[in-house]
Parts: sequence; C-alpha cells; structure tokens
Amino acid sequence: MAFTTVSIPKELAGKAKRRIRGTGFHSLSAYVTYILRQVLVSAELRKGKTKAFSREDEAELRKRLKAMGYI
Amino acid sequence: MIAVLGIDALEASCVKKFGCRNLSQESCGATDLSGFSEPRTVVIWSSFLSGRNTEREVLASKDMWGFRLDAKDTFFSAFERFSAIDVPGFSQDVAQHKREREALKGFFGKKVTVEEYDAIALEWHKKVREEFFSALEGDYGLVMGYFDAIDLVGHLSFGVEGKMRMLYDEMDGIAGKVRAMGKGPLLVVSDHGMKPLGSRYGDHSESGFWSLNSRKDLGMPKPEDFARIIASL
Ligand SMILES: [Zn+2]
Repeated sequence: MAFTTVSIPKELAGKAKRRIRGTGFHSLSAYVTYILRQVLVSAELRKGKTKAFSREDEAELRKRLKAMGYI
Repeated sequence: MIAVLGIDALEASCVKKFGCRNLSQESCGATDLSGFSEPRTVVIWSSFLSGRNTEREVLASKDMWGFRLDAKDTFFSAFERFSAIDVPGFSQDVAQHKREREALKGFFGKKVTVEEYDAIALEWHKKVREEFFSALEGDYGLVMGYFDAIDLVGHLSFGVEGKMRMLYDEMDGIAGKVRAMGKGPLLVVSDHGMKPLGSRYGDHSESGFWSLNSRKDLGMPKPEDFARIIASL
C-alpha cells in the first residue's frame, strides 16, 4: 500500500491523540485512516441499501442455503 | 506455537482485490473441494481437522451443526496444550450459530433487517477476536480461531463492496497482528470461497483459500491434507 500526507489542524490532532490513548490504534495516522474509512463505507452502505434485494435472486439463495443446511 | 486463522468463506479473488497482504502472506493458493458434493461448512472443517473426508458421517448425523469430533480424532491430539475457539465440528458455540441461522430465516421472513442480521455476526466476531488474542498470549502448542462474519454478511451483502472491504480489512488486520507477534507458523485457511448470486447476494464457491507465513508450495491441497501439513510445520 502506498501512503500520502494530509494536513489537519494541530488542535484537532491533539484532541484525536488524547482520544486514541488506550485503544488499539498505534498512531494518529492509523486512527484517522480508520475514521475516514468508516465515513466512506457508510456512504457506500447508503448506496448499498438501494442495491436490489431481487425476489428471484432471493428464491435462488434460499434454495442454496437450504441445500447447505443453513435454513 | 502454531496459529491457525480459520475464516469462513474467505474468497481468494477478494483477498487480491482488497489488497490484503497479511492474509495472502508469503505463500498462498486455492484448496480443492472436488471431493465434496456441496461446500458445506461443518463438513469441510471436520475434514480439515480429522484428515479424512467426513462428508458421509456429518450428513448422517441427525444435527449437522451439532456434529462433534473427539480431540483424539483431530490434529489437535498432536499437541499437549491447544486452544480451539468456536471451531465447527469441534468446539463451535451451538447456541450462537443457531441464533445466526434463525436471523437469516428472520430476514427472509421480513422479521429481521439486514442491519440487525449483520450486527449479530459482528458482535460475535468481536468476542471470538478477543478470545483468539488472549489464547495467543497463553501457553499453547497450537491456537485455532474460527471467524465467520465474512460468510454470514456475504450471503446477504456480497454485492455491497464497501461492506465486504471493511470485513476483509478487519481480517487482514487480525492476520497482521498475529504475524507481528511472531509466535511461529501462521496458517490462514478458509473452508470455501464466495461468488456473487445476482447483484446483491453471495453463494459458496467451489474452492477455498490457504496461506502461510513461509515460502512453501502446497499446490492445491484438499481440506483433509492440512492435518498432515500442520504436522510438518
Ligand atoms: Zn456460508
């Protein structure tokens, strides 16, 4: 994975640093990357919601899940 | 210590697409499921553990999800101390996985939303993750953790790329953390992969995935070959 640098206000960085204490994040960059991903994913998820649950596909999925013992 | 990261429905093409370097490790490849009539979770994991194709015996048992192997019938028996967290066919939490399947039925019956269904999978994932890392700190010859969120979420949302990417990132992070601990050999392995069903859903595919943190050419092993492979690590 290639990386790039972004600038954020110092005060905000300070607040974020205090917030990551005691969490699993090993750096401010890791934390900011995580937050940004969350934002982008929820935007995609909102799009995803409109991704059709088609009736025909659902019938086929139920058939497959039954064959594999799930339902 | 040998660590085994068992991931239900980890799909090789997604590992590549999402750039999961920790999951693909130093060597990786596909598994051969041609000996099974269907890629069924309990059947494949039981075969993986026991070193033989268990399809007949698992299907003959009256409750497939309750099927249990004895430790002496698995590669665990080669280790004086081992930890097997939520492993199908051995130590799986029956009540939790029943809850997951009930939620799936509830989704089809319009009683459970996809978000509620996902939440059940993710809550459990966190619990397994915690137990897995705590076992890795323990005094064991082998630790195996089984993670199923990619499978569960994938069945209803394989076509929602953001959601799948987040789960693959999460599993890649777990693999990365285990690798960084440097405890010894790490085997990442799935029972089967996943393929799209329509634009939204996911179905089990006909081949699984393996990777190792050393350079080794395993070719295209069957699930039942891993008992021997683990003994040679
Ligand atoms: Zn599945």
